Order: sequence, then C-alpha cells, then structure tokens
Amino acid sequence: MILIATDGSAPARAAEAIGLELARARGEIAAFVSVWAPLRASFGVPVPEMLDSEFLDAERTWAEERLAEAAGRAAAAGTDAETIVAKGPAVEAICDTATRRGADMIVIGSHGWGAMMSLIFGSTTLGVLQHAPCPVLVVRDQPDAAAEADA
Amino acid sequence: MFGTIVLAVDGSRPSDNAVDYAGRLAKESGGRIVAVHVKEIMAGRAAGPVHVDEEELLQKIRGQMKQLNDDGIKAELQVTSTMTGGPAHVIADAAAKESADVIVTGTRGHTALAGVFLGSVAQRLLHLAGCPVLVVPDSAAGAKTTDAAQEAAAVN
Repeated sequence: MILIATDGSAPARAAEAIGLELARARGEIAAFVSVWAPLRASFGVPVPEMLDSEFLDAERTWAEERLAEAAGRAAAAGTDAETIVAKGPAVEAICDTATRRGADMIVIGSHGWGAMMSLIFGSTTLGVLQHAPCPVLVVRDQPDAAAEADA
Repeated sequence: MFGTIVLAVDGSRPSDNAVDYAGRLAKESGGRIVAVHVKEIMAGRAAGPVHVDEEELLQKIRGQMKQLNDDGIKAELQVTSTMTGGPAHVIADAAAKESADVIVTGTRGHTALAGVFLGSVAQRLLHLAGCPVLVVPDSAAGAKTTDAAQEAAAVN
C-alpha cells in the first residue's frame, strides 16, 4: 500500500499525484491519510465539552473534507483510493497508520498548512522521516502547481 | 515512472538500504540509476578524520554497481570530490544535470551522530533538490537480507 499524507496544501497535492502514479505503476492500493487533532484551549487543556460539539468536530470535519477532495481528484484521474482519517498528533498518526496497514511507502509533501509555512520543511514531514517504518518520498510543490492552488 | 534515479551512495550501512531500494525502483520502472559518491576530502569536520578507508568504500560501491548491472539494471557511478558546498550540493547538482525524477538516499551516512535520525546530507538534500527525494530508513526492506553480511564485514 502507498500511504499518501494529505492536507490539501500545494505540496500535498503534488504528493497525491506522484503517490497515485506510483500505486498504479506498482499495482498497489493507494490510501490517503488526513490527520486531525482535537482543539486545545490555553495551556494545552482540551476544549471543555460545554462547547458546541459541532465546534469540536470542526477539525475532524476539515480533515474529512480534505480527504473527500483528494479522493475526488484521484477518481477524476481514474484511480480509486482509500481514505483514512487519523487522530493527531500528526507524526504519530501518520507513522502509526503506516505501521498498522503495513504501508510500503509514505508519500508526503515537503510542508503543509502548518503555521510555519515560511519554513521550507514542515515539522510533520521531518518527524515522519524520523519515525517512519518504511521509505518516505518527500515531494515539493512545483511552481506551476502552487500557482494553480493560489488561483 | 522513475526514468532516471539519482542515488546517493557513500558505502555506509544506511546507504546499502538505499542502494537496494533504488535497484527495486529501477527494476519496476525500467529506469536507470546514476549513483553519486562524493569523496569527503575535507577530513576532520567536527569529529576528526572521517574516512581513511576511502579506497575500500569505493571498492564496495563499485561492487554494488556491478551487482545492479548483473541484475539487469542500468547503473553508472559518478565519483566526485568537493571542497566547498558539501555532498548534498553535489548530489542535487547531479540530479539537476541528469534531469532526475527522484533522488534516493539513506537517512544518514558515515558521519551520523548518535541519536540523530536524519543526517545532515539527507536534510540538506530535501532543501536543495528540485525533484522528489526518497529517504530509505535503516530498517527498510532489504535491510534484513544484508544484515548478516554487514555484521560479518563489520567484524572483519
């Protein structure tokens, strides 16, 4: 299985395309994984349950939406892909999913939507490189892909 | 899909896994391998003289290339040395020149520090490379089959 980590960002979309192509070429299953983490209030305390559950679910819903979009793009390209929603922290969630599913390769973008977008390499990607149970293909967004995403 | 694979080699054990994996990729996609070995002539970075056994390493790497060729894979070796810029620059430049579809590297090479999982060369490559970079961990497929031979080599 080729496990493609995605959050819908431009590098992640470049990773999606290459991951799908690889899965097709190898005759392997492609799966998208998107990670969500429960919202935290100050000092890392979980947001109290008095808040609207819809609000609590927002992060999860966001991940599910990114997955649905990725699956849609895959289908449009003629490939079926499994979707996996994993609960964060992101590095653990991605590596655990890879281990659990016996992934042959993780494909990930060089950086995601994280707060440190100005850094070329995201902390999630570096963390996955350190803890992955299998080879990791790191994909940068191509200038044209980024332009497309911005458009 | 990986027509041209640039492979970073340094004769270290993590690099062996990368060689095995690159061979697998080349076989699958009918691609060719351009292996790049950078002689580190600037001995004594932080940790004193690094490789006095450069010739031995080169011999091992040539053996790996021959093994790939014997397996029916087109593989060539480029040996370069650098005084400036460091190995990552040389490898990234080679990838650009060869219009590589992917660069394959181990997580770290000879100069790995204890507790550091991602070597400085691999990390720099991520920044410099214009193509996707495949990082093969120490424990990846292929490691198991070469473990015994490696251990034997290490003892000698």
